[in-house]
Parts: sequence; C-alpha cells; structure tokens
Amino acid sequence: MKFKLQILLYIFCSNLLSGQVLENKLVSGVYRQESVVKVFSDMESNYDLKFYYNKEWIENHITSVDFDTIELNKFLKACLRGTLLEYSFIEPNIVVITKDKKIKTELPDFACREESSLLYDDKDKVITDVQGRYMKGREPDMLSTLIIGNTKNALNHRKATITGKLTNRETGEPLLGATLYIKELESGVASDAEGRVTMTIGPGKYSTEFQCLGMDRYSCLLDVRSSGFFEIEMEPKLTTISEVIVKAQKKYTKESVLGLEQVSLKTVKEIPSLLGEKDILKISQLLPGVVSVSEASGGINVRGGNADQNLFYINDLPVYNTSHVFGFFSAFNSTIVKDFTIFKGHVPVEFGGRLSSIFKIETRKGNKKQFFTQGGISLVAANIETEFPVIKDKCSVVLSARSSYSDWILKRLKEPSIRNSAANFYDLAGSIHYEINTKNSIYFFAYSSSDVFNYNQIVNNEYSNQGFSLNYSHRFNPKLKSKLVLVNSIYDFSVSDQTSLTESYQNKFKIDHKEAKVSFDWSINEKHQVNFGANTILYSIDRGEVVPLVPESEVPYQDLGNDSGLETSVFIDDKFSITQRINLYAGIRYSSFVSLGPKTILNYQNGTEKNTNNISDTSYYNKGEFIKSYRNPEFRLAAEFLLGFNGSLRLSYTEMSQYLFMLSNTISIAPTDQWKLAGFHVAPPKSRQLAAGYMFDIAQLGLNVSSELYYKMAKQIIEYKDGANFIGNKNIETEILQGNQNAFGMEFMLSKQKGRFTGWLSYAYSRSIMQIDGENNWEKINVGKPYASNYDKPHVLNVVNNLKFRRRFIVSYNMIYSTGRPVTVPQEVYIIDQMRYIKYSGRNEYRIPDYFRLDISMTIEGNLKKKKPLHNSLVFSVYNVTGRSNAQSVYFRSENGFILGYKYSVIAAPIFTVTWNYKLGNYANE
Amino acid sequence: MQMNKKVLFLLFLGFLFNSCIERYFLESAGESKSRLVVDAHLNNYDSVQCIRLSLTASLEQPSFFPVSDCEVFVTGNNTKYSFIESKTQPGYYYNTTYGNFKLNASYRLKIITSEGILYESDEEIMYECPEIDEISYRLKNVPLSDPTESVDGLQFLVDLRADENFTRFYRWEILETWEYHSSFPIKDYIDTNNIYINGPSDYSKYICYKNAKIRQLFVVSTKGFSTNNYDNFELHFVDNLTQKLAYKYSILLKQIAITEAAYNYWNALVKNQQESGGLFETQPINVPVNISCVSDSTKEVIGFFSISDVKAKRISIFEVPGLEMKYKLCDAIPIDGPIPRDIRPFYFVNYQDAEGKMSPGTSNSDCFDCTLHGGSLELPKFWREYNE
Repeated sequence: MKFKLQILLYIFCSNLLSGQVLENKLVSGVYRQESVVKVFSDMESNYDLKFYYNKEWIENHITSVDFDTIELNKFLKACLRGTLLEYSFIEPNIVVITKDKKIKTELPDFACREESSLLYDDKDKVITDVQGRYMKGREPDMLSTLIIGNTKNALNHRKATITGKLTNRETGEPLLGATLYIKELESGVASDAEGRVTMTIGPGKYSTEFQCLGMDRYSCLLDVRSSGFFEIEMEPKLTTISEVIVKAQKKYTKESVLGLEQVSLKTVKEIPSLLGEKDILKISQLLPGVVSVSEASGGINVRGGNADQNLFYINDLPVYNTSHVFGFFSAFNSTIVKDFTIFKGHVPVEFGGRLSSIFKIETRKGNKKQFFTQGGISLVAANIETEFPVIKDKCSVVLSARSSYSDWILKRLKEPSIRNSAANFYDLAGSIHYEINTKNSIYFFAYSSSDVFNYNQIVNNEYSNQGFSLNYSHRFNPKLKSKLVLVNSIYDFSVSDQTSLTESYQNKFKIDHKEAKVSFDWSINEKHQVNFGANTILYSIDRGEVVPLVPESEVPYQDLGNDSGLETSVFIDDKFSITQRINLYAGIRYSSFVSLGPKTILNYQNGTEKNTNNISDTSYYNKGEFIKSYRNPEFRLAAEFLLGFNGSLRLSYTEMSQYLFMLSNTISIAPTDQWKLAGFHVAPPKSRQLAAGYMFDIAQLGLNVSSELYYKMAKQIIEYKDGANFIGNKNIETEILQGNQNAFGMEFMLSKQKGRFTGWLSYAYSRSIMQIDGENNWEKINVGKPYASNYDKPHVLNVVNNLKFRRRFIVSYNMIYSTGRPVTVPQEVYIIDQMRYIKYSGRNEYRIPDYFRLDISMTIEGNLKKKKPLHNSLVFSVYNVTGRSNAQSVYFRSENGFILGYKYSVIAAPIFTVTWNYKLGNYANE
Repeated sequence: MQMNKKVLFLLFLGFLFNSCIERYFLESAGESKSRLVVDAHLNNYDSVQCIRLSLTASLEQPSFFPVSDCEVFVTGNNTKYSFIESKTQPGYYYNTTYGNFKLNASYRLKIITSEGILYESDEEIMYECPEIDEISYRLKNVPLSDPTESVDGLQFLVDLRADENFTRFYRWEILETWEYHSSFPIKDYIDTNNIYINGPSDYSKYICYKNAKIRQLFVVSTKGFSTNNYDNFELHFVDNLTQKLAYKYSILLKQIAITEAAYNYWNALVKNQQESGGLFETQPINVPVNISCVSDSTKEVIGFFSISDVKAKRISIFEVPGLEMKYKLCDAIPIDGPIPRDIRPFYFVNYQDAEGKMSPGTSNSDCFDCTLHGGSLELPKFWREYNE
C-alpha cells in the first residue's frame, strides 16, 4: 500500500511538473511470433524506455505486431492482447506491467487538492450517494476468481480437466448450449443438455467468459490448480430479444458441425402460426433444407429425403408420429420445449438409424427454486405447464398438458356430416430431474399423445404415441462421464373405414421400440475429446389384422403378421484440435440389424417379379431365429478451419443407414401408414453425404452469414410400384422396388440476432432425384429414367422477421416462397382398338403452381415490471394474409368423357387468430 | 382405401379453413403436341389385317384423329406386305394376307408419312400359339355398389396349357354373339307412308343376333411358373340383366401368343385403364412402345407393333341351369290423346289396365323391331354348327 501511494504521489507530482505524455510517444516495430520479453528489450534499447514486469507473467507469451509509427499505448495494447496484463506509464520513461489491475496514475479531479487530503483518515466520514456511486465507478473491474482444484493435487504442471455446471439462477435449470470461452487460449466449449462443460487446460489463471442465449454474460477469472468441478449460475437477461442461434456460426465452439440448426423457444413463440398453435416442426420448415409436401401434410423432408428418413427425439424418446390432426399441428407442446436441434448434415456417431436428419427436442428440466407455471389458449387448443422443486436446488418436476377443443367448433357448423364428426387431440408430458450430487443425476421423462378423428361415423382414425425415457448420468472423474439411457416408445393406430361398404375394413397397428444406450465422454487432454458407447434397439411391430367391418365387405380377412428386429450399434468418435484454428472430427458407428422370427418368408423363382404367382417355396423361422442380418460401418468425418474475419470453413462426410421405413404410397404421410422393418427381401437403405460450408460474422451489423453445399447419395431407397396397396398385403416385397436417390443443393442463410430488428432470410436451391432402374422391366419405374421425387422443390425462400417497436409490442412476419412440387399429369388421350387411353407425362414431369404465403402476427406483452406475479401476452395473427389459394394438390377427373384438371387449396383465405398466453412472474422468465 | 380417407379428410378441412377447388389448366395444354399413335397388331388368323394410325388428342377433345396418306408396310421372311388406306375409313390401313406370316420369323413395321417422316418398329417374332385347352364358365354373384343388391351371371374362364416350347406370354380376345328377342311381335302399325296396317302378328323383326367384341384386356404371363400352364384364368362376366344368356350365347375366344415386350405393353394398358382420372394419390402408368421415329429421334410415338399366331375356339350356351334371368321387357303404354305425327312406323299393342280392361297402347319402336338395338336378323353361320 505504501509503495502504491508513493508511486501515486510521484506520478501526481511528475505530471504537474513535466506535462509530457509518455503514452503518446511514437514507436514502431515489426515482430512475427516473437516473445514479448524480446519485444520489450528491443523497445528499451531503441526508445530509451524502461519496462518493469514480473518475467513469469510474460515469458511464455508470444505476440505478432506490425506497426510503422504508432502511439506507445496502442503498441502495448497489441502486444499484450490475450493476456490479463495491464500497463501503466510513469513519466518520463517507465512502463509498468501489472497483472489484473492497472496502476492509477491520476487522481480524481475533485481530489486534486493537497497531498494530505488523500491521506486523512476518513473512517468516520459519511460518504454521500454521489460519492458512493463515483467511488464504485472508479473501482477497478473486479473479476471474481473461481479456484478449481488445489495445489496439492496439482501433478507437476500436468494438464487439468475442469468440468463446470452452468445453470439458470432463477430456475436452477441446466443451460444447454452455453459457452465457456477462455480469452488467453482463444478457445471454448459449449455445454451439453445437462449444462455441463468440460475442458482440459494447463494450470494457471484464465480470464473466462460464459455466455448463453437469454442470459447475462458472466466473466470471471478461473484459477485452475488441478482437475476439478465448478458451478456457475447465470442471471437471466431481462430484456431478451427473439433469437435464433445457428450454432455452427459460433466461431469458437469446438465442435465441427455442419448442417446443424438450433432454434430456441423464443423464436417459436413469436413467429406467426396457424390457428395460434405454436409449432416447432412448422418453424423448422422455415430453415433452409427443410420442406414439407404441402400445408396439410404430416412429415417433413430434409435435404431431399423421404419423410420417414427423419428421427424425432423428445429428450431421449423417439416419437414415431409427430403430428396432430393429420399434420396440421405438431405433437409437442411448445411450452415445455426448451430448444430443438436439427442435424441434417454432419451427424455425430451417437445418432443414427435414419438417412436424412435427427431432430432433437430438449424440454425444460424444471424450476429447482420455486413454483412456476405458464400456458396459453388458442382457437383450437389450450395448454398448461407447471414446474416445481421437490427438493430445492436438487430435484424438480415438470408437468404439461395440451388438449384441443376443436369438437366445440365442429358442433357449431351447419353441415350435418361435419357436426357428426370429431377431431380432437391431446398430449401430456411429465419429467423429474434429480441431481443426487455433483457426480450423479437422474432424469425421467414420460410422454403421451393421442388423436381421434371421426368423419360422420364413417371413417374413424385413432393414433397415439406413448413412452418414457430414463437417463442416468454419472461422472467418474472430471475427465470421464457416462450416460445410461433406457427408453420405451410405443406408437399405435387403429383405423376403420366404411366409406364404401364393400371395401369397409378395420386395421390396428403397433410398433414397440425398446432401447438401451450407454455412452461415455472422455476428455483425454486439451486436444482430444472422445465419445464412445453402444446402443441396442428391439423393434416389435404388429401390423395387425385386416378385418372386414360389415358382412357385405369384400375385403378379405388377413393377418398382416408381426415383424421384429434388433438394431445394435457401437460408436466412437474423437474431437481433435490440431491447432487453435483447425479442429477435426472423426468417428465410426458400426451398426447391425437382425431380422428375427417367428416369420414365414416367401421365396420367389429366380429372375421373376416378386408376386404371389411366382412363389417357389416358403421358409419358416422360429421365434428369435435370425432371418437375415445386415452390417454397416458408418464413417463420419468433419473438419473445421477457423479463418480470419470471424469466418470458418467446414467440411463433413457422413454415412447413415436405416433399418425401418414407412409404408406410404400416398404423397404425404397419413396416419394409416405403417412402419416396416428391413428384412429378408428388403435391404436397408444407406446414404453418404458430402457437405462443405462457409460461415462468417459481420460483427458491426450483428449479422451471421452461412452457406452450405451438399451432395447426398442414397441407395436401396424404397419406392412403391404403381398403385401399391399395403393394407391387405402382408408380403410387402411384392409392392415395392428399391433404387437410388440423389439429392444435392446449396443453402444460404443470413441471420440477425441482435437489435430491434431480428430474424433471418434463407434460400435453398436443392434437388431430389429418384432413379429406379433394375435389370428387369418390372424393376423399373419411369422406364428406368431419373425423375424428381414428390417433394423436389428447387427454390425455397423464407424470410422471418421480428420487429420490436417497443419492448411490449412486437410485430413478426414470415414469408414463404417455394417452387410447386412435381406431379404426373395426363397430357393427351389416344385411341387403340376403339378404347381410350391416357398418355401421362413422365413421372413427376410437371409441377403444381408455386407456393407463396405471408403470415403476420402482433404480440402485445403485459407490463414489464420485474417483480410481478403473473405475466400475460396476447398474440394476434393472420395466416395467409394475401389469401392466396396455394395448391395442395392438382388432380384430374373424367367427366362426360372429358378429362378435367382441378386444383385443390386447403387454405384459400386469410385466417385470423387470437391467442392468450400467461406465465408466472416477469415475461422474461424462462 | 387410403385415398378415400384422404379425400374425406380434405373435405373436412375444407369446411374449417375455407378451402377451395378450382379448375386447373396445364400450362402447355393449349399447345399440346400431337404424337403418332400406332395400333398394329397383326395375326395369322384373320383374313383381313388392319393397322390404325391416328394422332393423340387433347384431353378436352378425346376423339380419333386419323393420319392419312401414309405408306405402311411390314417386312419379314423376305416378303413385303403393303397396307392400303381404306377410302371410307381414314387412318385404317388394310392388307389381305391370310396365313402368310411364318412362325418364328421376325417382322418389322415401317411407316412413311405424307411428309416423308419414317417410323420403324423393333423386330417382333411370331411365336406359335398352343391350342386352347378348355373354356368354362360358372355361376357367380357379384355385389353392386349398393351392398343390398347384387347381380347373378356367368363368369367365363379359360385354362392355358402350353409346354416349354411355347412362349410364356398370352392374351385373349373375345367376340361374343347372342340371340335376343323383341318385347312384342309387330301387329298393327302406321307405316312410314302414314298408312295404317292391321295384320297378323309379324315375327320377322322379333329375333336378332348381335356380335360384339369384349372391350376388356386379358393378358397373362407364366414366366417363372414351374409349368407353362394357367388354370381358370378369369375372362369376362355376363350378367342376367340382359337377354344375352336367355336364348343362346356364344363366344369366340382367340388365344394370342405374344412376346415379352408385347406383354409389357398390354399389361401397362390394363393398368392405364384402371387408373385413369383419379386423385393423384398413386402414380399412373405410361405404356411402353416399340416404334420409333427414324427421321427424328426426338419425336415421340405411342403404340406397338406385334404379330401373333392365334388359336381360336368357340363355345355356345343355350341355357344356364340355376340362373334366373332378370332382364326387363317393354311395357305397353296407354295412348293418351292424339297419335304423335313424328314417329313412323308407329306400332300398336294392347294395353291392359289394372282392372284388366284392354285399350289401344304403344311402346318404344325398339320394343317391336329388334334391329334397332344394333343386332342383325341374319342367322350367324356358326349358329347351327355349334349347338351343344
């Protein structure tokens, strides 16, 4: 203290005396990767300067500077970038290098009296408010220091693995996707679903920054002494804006991820929606590379793949039917959704089983501090979500429910057939998250969704998803953690159809998915992070019986039989940082599938079409007997190169295989579509995808720009023969063919995440081409020539914007344009032997009209007082503002000997909706 | 089955969301380019062979547009068979070459249009056709769309018996002939000269015979079968709602041996017919061709050239035990007011009212004159020969 005071006095006086300014002294120097010690010694000899510093602080610091005549303070700033070191000037020629704190070389103005005024004892003096604020403002930027480990355990300067847990201070929930960034190392990591970050670094002090969407930035000094654990509670940001993170654009995340999209719940809430039902799957279609066949269709198509090539996880639970009301709404209550991630390019080895994408929906883990509830009411449904701690800070429960009351609307319609109809759905979810201690935690999640659709007692359709997942995480040591997951998911439907009595039938279907998965995360050192594990899935499918409903029905009774199979995978990957600017990812997933008995397999004559006329003999397999097995090594590679200008170049190669597929010969997914396993006659589809992307930030404008190119080759894709009928056919091989699917495209996305004006613009040019060209004539579709798939939409442009006029008033809009999907149309008529035939265009040679839609919504938030019990918001939205009648389908009908074309539009008028949402506490409460 | 549900569902949504259905016109519909359609299926059975050339028609105007003034000929077995266009039927080209085609020889069709454009077919081989084994029929009850109603009739069947030396692909054509009667014999009538004729019952226009080709396609493939046989292939169905089975019914079944390419063509035609004009839920099918334009390979052609050996067999049926005929005869209608002037001849028949009282009545002309239903009074040649 005494020393400091002396210096201060000295400075004070010398300033008064000399009036010279050392910090503006002009210097020059060019150094490439040079030690700072060397730089300082050069400066001392060249410019009559004297540097005072602790050698230990800087001896390892390398710098590169290139200045031709610059002020000394700027020169030093450049030299010491990336360190915690500060510099101060003492006239006439002394430079003092200090750690953490800067030496005050000036006195406050009002203190500029006599020396004694600084020295008097002021303990009895009452500091006024103004003074207090002033004093506080003048305090050096104090960083709290987190000490990790202890020197006892420090192993001779060996690297330490630090593990942190990042949680929301208000709710105690773990934060996913939060980042830890170490300035000195210019590197960072992102947190997993449990809010954990792991890093291997050398002992020392690091200035560290934690960031998370919707949270205030948190900076601290990490004093790493040995491997250890720390916890950070982050404060929610009170005035958040709607944000979309495209995670791949975070320049310092260590993961090399291409084709990954992550969307937060905030985004979901502000984008206009149909009938006010917030829908994450509809929002996913606003991202590049994700489309659906049409407005009223379940299922989405990712990068030119079939709808059954996507795997949807809610937490660890796979969901086989993700839609309510035939695809109008998604089967997930958006209030429990925390965020969701789509892997459509590079897919980590941990995931597999589908060719096109993995959708991972993470739900809220629950408030561990206090009771919380939120919900909303829209025109068709109401939802509620509650969270409460069971053991404070340790165990929380989340319960949610959503139910439709659309029957209420139907009953008020004049048309009697509609009045006698029913269309309702509900979904329920519940979870318990228990953090037993810092090493162990358990997460249990259960989910159920149900749909009932009845048209005038003629068609009755019911379907439901049910399941649970149990996740146990254990940390062996700071470097190694493990996860054990047990899952059971069941999807079933029943359909009865009396549209035509002679064709009336009933069918029930059920798929049971039992899965066990174990995985390990091992941070070997700061360069290698290894993830390995295994999973096994037992599929049991009961295709049910086709039962004629009435005696008049001509539909023959048939037992469609059962299917069972075992999918097993082992996987290992390594995230490898070669340098601070080059990261590699290499992994392999070795998957295998065994089709299991009991089953009777039909064998067909060699060289003949697979149909019941050509059966040579049959083979019977006993229960559990192996019918056929398939093995596929799937290689996954990725590389990331961080370039200048906040840009990065990423490359990836991904192999996938799929062991079950959906039987759907209709253009879009229907809830009567059955799942089927690969087996004796049907080989599993496989794909390989190459992708390259370039991303960069324009920090001044807050813009992110990303573009990706991809080429995906898939083989053994299942395509249906003309007029295939799966209901009433137990031998699927007679109705399908397998061929190639090539998809390629370019995706571009410009997004702005900060400010009053946020949102994104995405454009994708993509093609999806099928070719079924078997050896024999009956193994061809479209005469073996390539044709566009049903969902090939070359141009898709989406614009999503939120305009925050005031903090309580937000206007959002989205605009969607896409090329119309392909169709086969009758072109001409010809007459052969007095009979009339139709000349059709080539398969999918024509397109329905282009699609365009504009939706607008306006959100009015209740007042923003920080401490208030309940927050309300009202959302007014107009879907399809222009009232454009977009074609859902184009079809042709023969009328009086003429073939006439018709265009069917599901939504041909603007639809206005009001939704009321509420939640406990302030509106920024997460 | 799936389609129906989808349609219903869409209708349902229609009410909820104010959906709409509008006419839709294909962008290129206005300038549809016509393609040459070739219908050339020759055989060694018929004395007169016919090749029909036409153009494809727009969807709005689906009729036969003949292509005239072409040079049409078939070459093969060192012979050239020229086909000459009929003067009365434009687009129909004929040749009388009965029995001249040789088994296992290959033939090719060539067409040179009036503009000098050359079309040529692939080579087609004429395979020998085995004799027809057995034609049979059985009683069958077919439900109608109204499930409370059904119709009885005869289902015709054929057995294919061939050995390994024969082709594996066949199709059948059926010519049916039947006798039918008027509802009333001609008695009193006003003739075309407006003269009232009161004569004894005249049965000269009472019994007619009618021929028709069954407009259904029957194709079969035994490829992959252990034997080249097919039992009980279902041919056509004749119901009891017409007079067809009332007196005598005869069919001439032609069994036609075809190549695999021709089978694919006919099979595609079958599917094309089934799927025309529905909601595009499933994919429609186009028909393969074996004719191409030599002058301009981009010109698309529709149609197929085939040449086949044919075996025929006739069966006739007099009465069907167990089949109750349900055809309707005409009823007499009482004449109310003056006799219409525009119907000549105008036939009279006695009308009996509910109380049994007789009065002059009439009925439609075709209830008296069977030829008005398209039949002929002439007894077919084979009518007496094939009495079973």
